[in-house]
Amino acid sequence: MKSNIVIATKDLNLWYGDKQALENIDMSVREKSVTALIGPSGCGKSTLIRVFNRMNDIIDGCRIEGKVFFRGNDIYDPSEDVMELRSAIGMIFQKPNPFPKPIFENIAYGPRVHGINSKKKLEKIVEKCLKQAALWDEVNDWLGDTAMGLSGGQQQRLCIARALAIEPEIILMDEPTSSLDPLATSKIEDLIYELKEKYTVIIVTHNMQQAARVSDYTGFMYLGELIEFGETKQIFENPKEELTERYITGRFG
Amino acid sequence: MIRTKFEEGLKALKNSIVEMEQEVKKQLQLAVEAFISQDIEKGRVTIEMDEVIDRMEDEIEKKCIDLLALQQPIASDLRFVSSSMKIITDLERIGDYATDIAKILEFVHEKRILKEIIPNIRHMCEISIGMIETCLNAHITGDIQPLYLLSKEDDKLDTYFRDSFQEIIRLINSGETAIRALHYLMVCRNLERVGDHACNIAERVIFAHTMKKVDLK
Repeated sequence: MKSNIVIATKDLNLWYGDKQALENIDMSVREKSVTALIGPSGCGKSTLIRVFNRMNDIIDGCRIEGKVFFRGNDIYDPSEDVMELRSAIGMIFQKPNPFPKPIFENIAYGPRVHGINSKKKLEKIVEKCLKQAALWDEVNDWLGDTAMGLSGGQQQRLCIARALAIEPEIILMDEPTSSLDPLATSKIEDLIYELKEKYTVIIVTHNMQQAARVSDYTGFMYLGELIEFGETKQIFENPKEELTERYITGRFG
Repeated sequence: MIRTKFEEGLKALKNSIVEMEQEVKKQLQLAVEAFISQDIEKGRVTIEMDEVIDRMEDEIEKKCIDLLALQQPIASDLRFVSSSMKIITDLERIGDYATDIAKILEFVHEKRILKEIIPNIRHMCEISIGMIETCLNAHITGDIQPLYLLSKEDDKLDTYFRDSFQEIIRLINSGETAIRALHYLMVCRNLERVGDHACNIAERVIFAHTMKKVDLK
């Protein structure tokens, strides 16, 4: 698999107050691939993906050293526009968090903020994004109904559609299926597979089989360090590091 | 975070594989003993063991499938389980060769024994049983170093086989009944094939540990 690096870190270190949460992370993510981050709770997976769209900026006492490059630009450079960065790098969270508004408005919200007001254009965007998120067939007759009436799995796909509406390049997913049933999970996994045609996906997951199923690359993190990073096949069939082997085979601690 | 249920399943799988190995070695030993001593009753016992070994293979395969489906092993665990499924096929084939030797006995017993070939058969049996042991030990313990020496053992088997071949031609040329002599050749041939299957197992075990294909034959 040969493609361009879309996001990369160099000697990345991060502290929450005195506590170091990330240590010397060097990682490169390829364009239009799915990268999974695995590791025990508190190992820094979520912290790392939050670095990518500067979500840690809002946390008091959070300090970062090192570089994070998005398309070659250092995203922590003072001249960087954070809003622009966040519209290029969308995020999906563990629990679906639709706005308490109609389905249509959930998706039209982002484009409106970015200045698109034509009803026709917005309708087109809503339809396209719902189709990309594999939700259109289930909701196209109910676009005016509140999003809160959707099932958990539908809500999560709505959140993905909402993220797609502002045409990001990267979609970060922080345990996107941990609150979903197996059927909804498998729909999201199928969706991730389809999304990588156009987007780069970075997913944090506690589900090892999920990482193995959906990703092209996998990074194993432990105590803030990226222990091993490689093609998913290699990590799950023949990891190089003893620690990775022990974690993924469940012989940890 | 120790996966107790999986560890138990893995242990049970290992035990079953060791049991099958013991049974196959016992069968091979018995087949050769029966042949050398022309003991038709021992031969019959050997043939009956084939069914037991076939059943063991089925049960181990089932155990592997259960582990794959229910415990979803990965990395070294996955490689152990999937290679086990292959290894038991070779073990079962070795059992078939032992059965064959016992069946050949039915054709030649109560006839003159070709004493010239017997020492070779004895040596080949010893070597091939040793090879099976080396392979399965490596598979169970993970110590694969001894496997790299296995091709030397296989060469010894080949040498004994060629030697028996020459000797049998000589016997036929000097008036020995060809059919009887050829039955002896088939016994040697079966033992030589056991070595090939042991090499298959060794290659499989090395692959499971290193993900690299080697050719030991």
